[in-house]
Amino acid sequence: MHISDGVLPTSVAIGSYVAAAVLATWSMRKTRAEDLPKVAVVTASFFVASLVHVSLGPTSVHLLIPGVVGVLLGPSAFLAVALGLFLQSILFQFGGLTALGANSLMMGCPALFAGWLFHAIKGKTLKQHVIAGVVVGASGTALAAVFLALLLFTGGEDFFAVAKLALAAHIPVIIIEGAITGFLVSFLYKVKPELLYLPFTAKGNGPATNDP
Amino acid sequence: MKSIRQLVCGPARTVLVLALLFWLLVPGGLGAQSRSVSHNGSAAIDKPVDCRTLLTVLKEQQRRNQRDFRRLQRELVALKQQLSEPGINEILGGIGYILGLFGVAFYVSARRREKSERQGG
Repeated sequence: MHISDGVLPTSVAIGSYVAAAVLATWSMRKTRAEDLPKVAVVTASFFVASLVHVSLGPTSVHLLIPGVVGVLLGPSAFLAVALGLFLQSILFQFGGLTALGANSLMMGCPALFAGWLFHAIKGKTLKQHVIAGVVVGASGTALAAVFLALLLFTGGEDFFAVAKLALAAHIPVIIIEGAITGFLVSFLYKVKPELLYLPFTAKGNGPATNDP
Repeated sequence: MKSIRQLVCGPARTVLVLALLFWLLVPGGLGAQSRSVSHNGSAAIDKPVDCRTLLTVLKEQQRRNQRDFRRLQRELVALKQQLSEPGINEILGGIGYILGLFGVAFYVSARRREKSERQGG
């Protein structure tokens, strides 16, 4: 699920670049210095996850993991997604550089939403956490498909047709992502629960606040 | 000394001569090859060419060429697809970029924090 070069009109490409830059800056200021290694590792996972192909009849779709990124990183998720997509477009020719802003919005906003949603609906018990993880993982991917349709709609495509097509193509991915996120959350809940809480405890001790 | 010279002149020479004869006479050897080439050439000119045989030979050849060509085409397509997929170099390079960029960010933030601490303290 990438938008290629030249699909979007120039105005939309520029506008999405600006919006993505604003969001990335906000995300960077929200990132705490001591979280940087974690953000780096999750970014690398996001970067590599797109290479895990799920073959599906004649076509194949790949993992997107906006849910996982959002759950683990919270507000820093947008930074991770933007950087991962930038390197993907340079090294793998996924999407294009002119569509990078749109692609970042398409993947980053669902990641931010997933983080927020997970924080909102996760309960106290393991079961509630796992359910929240499944919901977040699935809805993150579905939301990315909706964003894709929304962006292509600005390029003159029919919104509902594209949305239907993108959602239908990503049903297996949505299911797999839900399962993966659920497993990950249950594992982390048992092994290192603070990873699931830390992104959302706003201590505000990041590099930005150290500015004189 | 004498015994060595005797050996060279005696049995060794016999063996050399025998080997030379063998090389010239045995069919498939170098001598035989040069002879057979001239023989084939004269046969092609002497005999009248049977068109039907020639046609079957040519057809067979064309069929084989077509098969080879198709195989090459398939290999080309496979190679193209393989080239368009990101390889291990790109993957490791990308991970390296990510870790490196975050390393720089971490370094900068640490320096900044150190500086502000020094100024404050």
